[in-house]
Amino acid sequence: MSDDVLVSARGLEVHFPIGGSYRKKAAGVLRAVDGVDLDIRRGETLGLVGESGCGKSTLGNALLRLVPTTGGTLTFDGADLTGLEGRRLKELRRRAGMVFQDPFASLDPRRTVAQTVGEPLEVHGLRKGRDKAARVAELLELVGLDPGVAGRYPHEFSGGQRQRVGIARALAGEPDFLVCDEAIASLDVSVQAQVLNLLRRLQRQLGLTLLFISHDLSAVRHISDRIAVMYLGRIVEIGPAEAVGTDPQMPYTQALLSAVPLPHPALERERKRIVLSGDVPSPAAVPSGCRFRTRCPHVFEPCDDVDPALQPVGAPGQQAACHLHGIVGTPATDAPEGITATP
Amino acid sequence: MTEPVLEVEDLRVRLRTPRGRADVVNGLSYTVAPGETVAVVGESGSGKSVSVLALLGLLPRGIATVTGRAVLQGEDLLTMKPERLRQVRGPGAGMVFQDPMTSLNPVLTIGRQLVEGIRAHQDVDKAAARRRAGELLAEVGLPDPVGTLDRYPHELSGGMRQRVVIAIALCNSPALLIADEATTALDVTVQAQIIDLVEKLQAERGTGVVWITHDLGVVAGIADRVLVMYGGRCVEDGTVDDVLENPRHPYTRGLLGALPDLAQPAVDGVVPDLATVPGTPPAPTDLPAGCVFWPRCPVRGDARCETEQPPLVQITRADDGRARLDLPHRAATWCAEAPGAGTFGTESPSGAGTFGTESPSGAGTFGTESPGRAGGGAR
Repeated sequence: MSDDVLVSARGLEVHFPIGGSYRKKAAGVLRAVDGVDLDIRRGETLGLVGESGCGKSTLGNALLRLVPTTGGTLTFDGADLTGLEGRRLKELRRRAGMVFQDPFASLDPRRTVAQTVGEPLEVHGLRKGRDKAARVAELLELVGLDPGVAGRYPHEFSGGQRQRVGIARALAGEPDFLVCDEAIASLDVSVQAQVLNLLRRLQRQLGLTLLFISHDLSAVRHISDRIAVMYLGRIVEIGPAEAVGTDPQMPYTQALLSAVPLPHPALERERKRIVLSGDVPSPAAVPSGCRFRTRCPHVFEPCDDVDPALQPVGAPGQQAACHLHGIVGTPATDAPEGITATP
Repeated sequence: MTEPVLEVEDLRVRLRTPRGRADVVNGLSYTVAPGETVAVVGESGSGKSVSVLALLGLLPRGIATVTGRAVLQGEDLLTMKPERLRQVRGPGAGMVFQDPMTSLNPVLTIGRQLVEGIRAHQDVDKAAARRRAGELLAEVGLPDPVGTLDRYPHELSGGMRQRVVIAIALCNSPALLIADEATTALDVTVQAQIIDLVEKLQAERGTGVVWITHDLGVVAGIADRVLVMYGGRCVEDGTVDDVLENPRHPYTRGLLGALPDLAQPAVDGVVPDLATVPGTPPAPTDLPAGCVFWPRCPVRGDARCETEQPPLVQITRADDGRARLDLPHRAATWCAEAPGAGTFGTESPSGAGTFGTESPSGAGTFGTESPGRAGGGAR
């Protein structure tokens, strides 16, 4: 593994047991994350897109050890994460932060901004007393808030300001890695732009590595260096933002991009939209072979039988998991447990 | 032009709140022709949802005061008796709400909810209503329509639920369909399906559609006409091309500039920062005296901005061949007006240059990350 990779996952799996009814025992397995290979490079912003239920939030949580992984390996800065406990897990918590979706639910309504932002400093024993207050003021200033608001409560702030508080809290431990899980989804357009700009500035200023999880392709394209597209627990395409955004190689990415409405009426009228039929299959019943085959407009012979692996296509650094670019992958076996990608 | 389906004139909604009087909608006027889609855009709190809830009498009495006129097929909705309004909701106007999980009753089957809507307005027996319900579900593209009748909302996905809600809204063939953020809770691929569906049904039935959304991308795809709302007022309206390609109000420009644009490629590999509109929208309890956008406006190019409310005036150029007389491009701002003249023959270079909605370089002048910085567009 090269030195410039901060977070690395190999064959990462997060499976949840789904228990049947009051009469039945566990009926099956929900494959939220199902064999993800991913390298996040130091100092880059990686955008993670996909529809609801594709496992993107679970993947983000798994990378921070917020949900237990059931398979595969996970390393952070070269050290194995999967078995981490106690003091070393706490150190990971300092070095990797999270910004949550809903700034109304992710802040404790009974704590002041200073208490919320200062808590990580206490937990990790970084600052005390007056030093802590000074650091909180510094953090608030960093995210574009007036340090004078430290004594206020969340309800006194607008959505955008609350999200800034959430970002300040995530930055308190001076993390290397920040996961933003739908951090702008609940904000208005003009406020979204403010938060996007703030994240970009912080990323440059502090040299952060960012995983930006969102269903909004335009925003992801705007903020990311690279984009990973997720479908049913698997990364199906990854590459430089420009390449994935303009010349996607996987039919799913193509459909997803074509469905994004653009604010240009003339362009919209001429655009050919690839409308996918149906809904995403349940992650509890993943199709055999290629998981996208039930909705894919280009489905052909090997798609039923061979689970496609990511292969280099298109621009340098771009990879897609699709048989249209050559049949690479694992033949499906009758036992669904056998479905794992081998690159 | 044919008789409009809906004609709204000077609609005002005032709410009594613990913090005092809130002027949520302040003089909104528009018309919807048969088969036409009018998009109402704005951020949260701009009054867009309240304005349509007021039309159908869905605001709590005693708290909301609604004035103005809203004529639906020759009858004024606002002065209508409650019993008559009940009859109109359905065959007159159908409504699709944002969240399909909360707008369906979780303890009733899909079939019962559809049959209820059909039998409330049509004199048919249960069996016939159920047959009609099955047909409707097939029409909105649900797989296994008859089987779905006996299922409960939680058994369906978000997209399927929204199709059911649309089927309920359409079950009495309304002349007007109101969609309040109907696709906001859905994924883009499902959103595309729903938009296609509404467009298809609209073309078949000639339904007028009022589409409320905050997503300017959706607007570009579906709308014939756009109404941009801010602080309870319409600040700009016109054809979708006029408003999105040639916006005149500083707010519309700011909104468009704040949008990450998939169609705009990176310049030399560098993606420029987004333009932001500093500050937050005004509270409806405390609206500014002059132009509603004045406190956040980077232009403030006129002495009247602070004190005098700009009227919504036509800004379409007379010599413009594309200009449509029935759909004038109007904006409520002092900035778009050429000094001393009622016509707008010039391109208004200072204004256009400052915001530069077309050029990425213009983004910086809208004050990225620095609240309160005024642009250089003052004349």
